[in-house]
Amino acid sequence: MKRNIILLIIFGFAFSACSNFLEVEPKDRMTGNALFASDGGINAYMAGLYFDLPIEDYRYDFCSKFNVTRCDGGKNNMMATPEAVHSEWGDHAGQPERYGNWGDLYVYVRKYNELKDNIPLMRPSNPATLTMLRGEYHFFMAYTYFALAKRYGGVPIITEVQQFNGDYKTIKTPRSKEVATWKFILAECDSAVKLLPNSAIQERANKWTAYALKTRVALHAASVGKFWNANGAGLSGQAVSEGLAGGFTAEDIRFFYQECISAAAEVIKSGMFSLYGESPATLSDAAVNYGKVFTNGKGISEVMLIRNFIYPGVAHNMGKWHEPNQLSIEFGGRCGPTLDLVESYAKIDPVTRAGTYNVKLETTTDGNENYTVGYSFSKNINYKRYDNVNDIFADRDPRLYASVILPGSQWGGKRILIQGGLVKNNGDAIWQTNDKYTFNGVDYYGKGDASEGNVSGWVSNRANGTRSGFLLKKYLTGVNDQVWDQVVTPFSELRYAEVLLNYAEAVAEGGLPDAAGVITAKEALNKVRKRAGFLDNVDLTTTNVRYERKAEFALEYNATWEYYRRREYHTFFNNTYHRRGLIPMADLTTGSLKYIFVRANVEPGNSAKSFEPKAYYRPIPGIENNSLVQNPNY
Amino acid sequence: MKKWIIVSAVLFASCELDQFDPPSATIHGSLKDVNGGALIQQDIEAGSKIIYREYGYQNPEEQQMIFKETGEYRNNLVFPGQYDIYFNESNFVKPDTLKSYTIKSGDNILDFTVQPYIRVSNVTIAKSGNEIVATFTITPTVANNVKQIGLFGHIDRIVGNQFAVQRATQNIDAASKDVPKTYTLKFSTNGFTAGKTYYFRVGALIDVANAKYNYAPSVTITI
Repeated sequence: MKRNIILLIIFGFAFSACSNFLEVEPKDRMTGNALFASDGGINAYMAGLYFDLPIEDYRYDFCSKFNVTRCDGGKNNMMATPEAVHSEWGDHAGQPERYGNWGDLYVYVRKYNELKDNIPLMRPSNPATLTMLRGEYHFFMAYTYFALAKRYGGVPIITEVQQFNGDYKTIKTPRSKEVATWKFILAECDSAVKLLPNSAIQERANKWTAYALKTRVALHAASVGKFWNANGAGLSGQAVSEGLAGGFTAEDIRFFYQECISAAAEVIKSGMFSLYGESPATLSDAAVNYGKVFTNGKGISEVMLIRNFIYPGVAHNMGKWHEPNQLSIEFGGRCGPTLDLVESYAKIDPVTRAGTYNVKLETTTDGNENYTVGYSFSKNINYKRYDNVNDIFADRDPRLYASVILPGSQWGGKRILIQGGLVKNNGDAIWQTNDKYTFNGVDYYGKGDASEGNVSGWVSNRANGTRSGFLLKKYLTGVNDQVWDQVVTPFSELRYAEVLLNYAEAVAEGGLPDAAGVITAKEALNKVRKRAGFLDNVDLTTTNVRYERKAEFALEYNATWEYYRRREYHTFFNNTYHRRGLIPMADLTTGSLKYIFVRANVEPGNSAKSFEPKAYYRPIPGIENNSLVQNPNY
Repeated sequence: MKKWIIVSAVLFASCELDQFDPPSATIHGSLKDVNGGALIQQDIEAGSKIIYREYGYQNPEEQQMIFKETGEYRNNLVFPGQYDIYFNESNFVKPDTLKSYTIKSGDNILDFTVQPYIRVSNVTIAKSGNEIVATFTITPTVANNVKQIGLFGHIDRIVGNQFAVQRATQNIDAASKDVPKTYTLKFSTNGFTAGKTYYFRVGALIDVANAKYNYAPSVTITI
């Protein structure tokens, strides 16, 4: 529909040009022309602005920019974190130039300020639409300034379309203090809340998405204040002494946590949203329900803001890059979740459905789970032998099965074969090569099959295989999402589960009371946990909130900012940290086929990752021209 | 800043000769302990940095010089002029900004005499069976916590927190201003090649914003 309108307008220009070609309207700017005189025209214009909304989705490449159709090599936000590793490359969040979107974000700010100027020119059929559009302006501004503040701290706040008259001094705008920047974003959310309609439309901003965004922003701000110096993350220098980076008082921190709690309470109070499948009958139901939120979000009330894709039009390449090699068309298997992530999912008792955190996978018979082999097989470990390749992963938090493709699991109509080697009957190993080994007249292969098309791990062709032993499942559909530039899986950006967990975290970390008139923070925490299949309740502690957030948001695009705002990145990427995998191997030492699992380093290039605390603030480009104070230590 | 002026000069006046003189000054010196004058050891990557800002421009950019692992530095391509010189990241108590310091054409020597956050002394690092064992004393000079101590082994003299084939660290998280404390750290020689010579350094990190490791000079051991 929107496309047709644009086409109509283009045809309009094309066919009217010869009759009145001396009276053409300027084509380099929006004026009070036909576009703004019709509802369709206004919608088309707004669709363009939503396209620019800086959501880090399938089309965001943290090494380049927003709205890239073919993110280079299938890079996604998860690979910047300790949760996943690219099958070939090692880019990560510790590189200060990553997430460097300064210029693009200010282009969006300008477009949104143009919208503000254009609203008075619009003539929608229903005048109430103008109120909504004004609300959307504030929503866009909040979103974009949030993207700026989480990268750069305090930034120049520009709320008008700047006119350049030849004098640079008139347009140079200094940075606001970091705390003032966060308060500005919250105020934009509040303006949006007042103007936006009380509806639950998923594709456009409404009152409740503005509140949901506000919980995310306020929690981020509060965390930066609270964890400013966590494990030596603190910084000093001009930007810090001027309050452009940091500078939170205890009162500021309390204020931001309280803002998060109040905004979350409004969403909960509305009663318009619920978790999808909030009381699953079985654990497999729980996994299916949870998985659907990320691929079938349309019509699910939990998904409060969704970005739809359409082919032909704007599509992406999520499944193209990430479906397993066995299902791939040309590319695949780029995103390998790490062992540490997989192991962090709680154990669940299949009968009582009670959970236990911190249970390691059993790879040995002697309880030694603290080893990591470097880059080769080690015979000196008492590996536990399993009859089936997926027994070791049994009875975990169902969210694991919806987020990660495990070795030997069914996916897209195939059994996904991930095998990193083989131990021969004499104890010698084939390690990450596909050598043949014949034993008792049967041929075995290092990677599990003679043909590379039938395996999904350690694939030589195009880096199409996982190197961690696991593959990403969240956001994938298993079928019909593997064609170049034609993948249309929608993206769930804001969801009710996040509002509940933001509420829980703000109460727990802020040491503040529950909100009045709604469920307690403990109930909110356990509600999310129940949807995942658990039946027991956990206490509201900062540790439990972290466990639950990790399990709920693992391998999501927004998870990178969890490590960032709580100043955890530098404790992982500390110069010694290697992201690890689990190498499943066939084992014939007992005379029959068994499986063992080896904890191993899998980072490409054998390089340990480092995240210097200065990377919590990205470098501002062009300070020699824009005269801004640079962030510390650049 | 200067770079852009030169680029613009080339762009807009490329038919004439560039009228700027090349950088004709060199500057070098060392970081010295205020007590006794010993050099203060550094990380060459992500270590202390000298920040200098040139006068005469509207928006002077911060420029940086790094130290060698020994605590010495040298820059042979500096424009003569007036500079503010100061530190943001350091393993010593930051001295006041050196205001409008003149770097003249030719050779300049500028030493910094400062108070290291932690002094590392009485170091013995030796191979004992299949282990490298280090015993050393640390004396913080400020009231902040000592965050961590470490023993590092590497193929090169740049060995330290940034470059280590093998490392052993211990979190301390306790303050002991002016009180010497002795620690022992060790790691296995697995991972080193027998017969080759490696560099080892011990150090300690203070819990101060932007702080870097303090070290004792490295020693070499043949495995």
